[in-house]
Amino acid sequence: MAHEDNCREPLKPEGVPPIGPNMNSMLRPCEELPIRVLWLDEPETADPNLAGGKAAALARMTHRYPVPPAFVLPWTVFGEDGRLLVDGLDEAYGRLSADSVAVRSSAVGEDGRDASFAGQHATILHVRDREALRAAIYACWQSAHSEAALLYRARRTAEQAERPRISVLVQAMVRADAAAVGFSRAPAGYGIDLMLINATLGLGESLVSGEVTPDVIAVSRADLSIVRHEIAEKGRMSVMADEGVVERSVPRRLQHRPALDEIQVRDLARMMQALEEEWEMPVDVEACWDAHGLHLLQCRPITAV
Amino acid sequence: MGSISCSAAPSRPFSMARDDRSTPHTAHFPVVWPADADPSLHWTLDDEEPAPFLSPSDGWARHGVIHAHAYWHGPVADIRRLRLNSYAYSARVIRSDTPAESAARAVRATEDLETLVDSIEARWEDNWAPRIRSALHDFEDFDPGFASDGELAEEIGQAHLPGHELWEVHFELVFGCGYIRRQFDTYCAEVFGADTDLGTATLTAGDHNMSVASGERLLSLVEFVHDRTALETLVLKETWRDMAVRLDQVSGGPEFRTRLAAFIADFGRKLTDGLAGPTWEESPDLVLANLRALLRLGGDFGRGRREGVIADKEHRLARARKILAALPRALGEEFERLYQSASVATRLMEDHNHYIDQQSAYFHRRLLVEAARRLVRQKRLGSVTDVSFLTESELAQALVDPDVAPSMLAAARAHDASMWRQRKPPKELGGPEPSLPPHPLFGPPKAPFSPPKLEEAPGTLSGLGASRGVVVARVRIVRELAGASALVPGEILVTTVTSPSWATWYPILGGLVTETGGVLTHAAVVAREYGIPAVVAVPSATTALHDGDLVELDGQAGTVRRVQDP
Repeated sequence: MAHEDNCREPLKPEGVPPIGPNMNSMLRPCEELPIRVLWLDEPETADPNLAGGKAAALARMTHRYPVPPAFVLPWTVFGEDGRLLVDGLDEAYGRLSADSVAVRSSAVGEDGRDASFAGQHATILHVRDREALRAAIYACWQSAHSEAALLYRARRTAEQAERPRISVLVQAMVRADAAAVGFSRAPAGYGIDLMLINATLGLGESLVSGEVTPDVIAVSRADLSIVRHEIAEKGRMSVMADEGVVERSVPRRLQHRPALDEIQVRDLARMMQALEEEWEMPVDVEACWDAHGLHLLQCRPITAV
Repeated sequence: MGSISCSAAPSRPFSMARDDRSTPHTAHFPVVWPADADPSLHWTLDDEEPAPFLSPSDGWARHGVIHAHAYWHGPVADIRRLRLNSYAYSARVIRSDTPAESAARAVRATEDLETLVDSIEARWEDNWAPRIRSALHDFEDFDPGFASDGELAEEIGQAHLPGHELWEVHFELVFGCGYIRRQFDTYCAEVFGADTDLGTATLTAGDHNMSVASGERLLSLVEFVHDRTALETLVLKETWRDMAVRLDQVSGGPEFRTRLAAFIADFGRKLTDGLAGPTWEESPDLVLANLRALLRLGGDFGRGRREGVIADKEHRLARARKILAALPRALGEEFERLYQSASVATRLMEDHNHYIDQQSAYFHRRLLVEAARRLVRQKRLGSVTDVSFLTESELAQALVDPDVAPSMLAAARAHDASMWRQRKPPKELGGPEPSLPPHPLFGPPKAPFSPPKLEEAPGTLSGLGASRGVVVARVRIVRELAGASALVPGEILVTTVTSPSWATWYPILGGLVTETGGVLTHAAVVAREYGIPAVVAVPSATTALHDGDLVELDGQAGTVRRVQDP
């Protein structure tokens, strides 16, 4: 097997505790790791040593939260040069049946606490056909792989000296009407016992990258009531266009309207509350809404408040 | 190049040159300010012709504008009128608000106008339409033919009551609809791009309204005649006077008579030539001329062209919705909200002509003409149209006081007017044009389909492209609707301005050129409904072009070019 060299057992959780419920029970010898396309809702996908931190976190949330459907190409299906060693991609893509998918790297060892960790930026959005998907998966894997390799070399720790293990997540893209980033515990300075939500029109890309000034919503942690709702002048928004995800200006009539209504804010706050209880620590979530309602795109623990 | 109406134009900075231009005194047009006129106001000429003292629904519009400014928190406090050397001038009095007061006024107006966006249909159903019905009812209730002189005089003195009510509705409606259509246009430009062909004009083209309804009704009359050979021969050959007596002898004749009367009852309350008339009721010949022109057009009588326009609109709408489907739903929802409102606004902008402009003038004229006829019969007035040289109170007075001799007064004023007609009046008098504070009632200047041409090629006239399409055809100059019967199917109608009375003629037109108007005025709206290439705001088109000229009209570029006869 191409990845045999990398196989050590039992796999250690790489210096940081696993996210949420203890995952050690799921660790198993390397030769038992599946070498096939995994669906997000399969039990194996919740293993961060197989699916990578990002995909595993989503896999664990997918049963109880509205996570968009996705499949994962675990690191075990990639050759050393990033070529796929197994069939099944086309079939999975067909089954996913999404107009548009996002392709994201999900590195083993990346747990989301360290936002600058390998592969964080290896994301290709709005991929719309089989050819483009293959190219995107390859590009994503390559980019995350070289980024991670550099990082490992810099760390110079013995256990990370080998080849990085990069899995790739292929997720149905949500054509978002509005997007939000939420902290279940507001950063210091915003007031105590508050949740903080930043919201904008369209996809969350320009929100996450900080390119637009979002609406700021403070929600009481005690009763989930809206304490403050500051409407920003939202001049720009990210939308899915023929040429990819692009930024466009917002029509003037809509610039001063709230991106989220009260029900949407309440739903998000309730979800953050549930995630925080489950994970037993404050969380940072990315969410969006379309015609079907709320979608959970990402959830990470907040380590520094 | 045609100018855009000055009320919509942005205020220009004050300049000395402009001030000089406004200075009134010239040897050929001496200005003596009446005591009650304020020479510091900016007075503009109403019309290049000497103004009548009395004309149907005259003055009611001014009342309506002032009222609508109060209603929509607008900046105009008053509009003054002044008669100088037979010519009429008007001046707006702008509220002397502080900037903070103006801003607060604009905010209140925006709130009220935004409320209208979601409630325009209800405002029409629950407020505007009942007020119109009630005012028209007041007019209908009075039959001038059966009134005594005293009753008629009193009715003339009271006519402004329903008249003002109608015109208050008129400008509440027009200002509100204008706001909604501008919002929709701005929104479309922002979502689909500045050079988009998606907007009020293209997306509401072909919608049903009273002008279309009158066209449809006339077409069904045409088809009725066309299906009956003997009747068709009769209609094509004879004038109403000769036809009327023979109608009972041909198959379908009696029914045709009934249908024609019903058409005229529903759509005939309109003036063809101001006070002079006749109205359609007085003479069906104009309707018959229209009918004959359509019969000669043959084929589907222009129906296909209108269907094409509707298909074109549906296609554009589908394209807009496809673009919106890829964007956050808030954008699509706002589009549908504004589109629905703009569709109603467009319909009302057309229909209020039928209900208010035409009928108020029709009923007012009915009173004035009846009074004038009585005076003519008593040999106290030379002709019915001389009544335009009397004021309302002079006319009422003459009816009840046999010692008053209005013909002398009318003759003196007619002489005065004919003398001053030789002199060209200045377009502006008095002080500089006041600047209007920013207000939602005035959007940015309306963007024409095509930018105005700065340089004109020789032999080319430019205006605003109002309805797309290129046509090469012969020109027919028609200044009054009464002359429309000269139109040959396929010709380009060149006229000063078209009112909704023209609507039934549109199916036979090859193209349309008007001297005044904008892309949202009646002519442009109906031209788009019938898919007729049109250019509006071509000054002196009726004098620069001549009957039979072969021209190429480009309804997108806004040009009319003379071409060589083959």
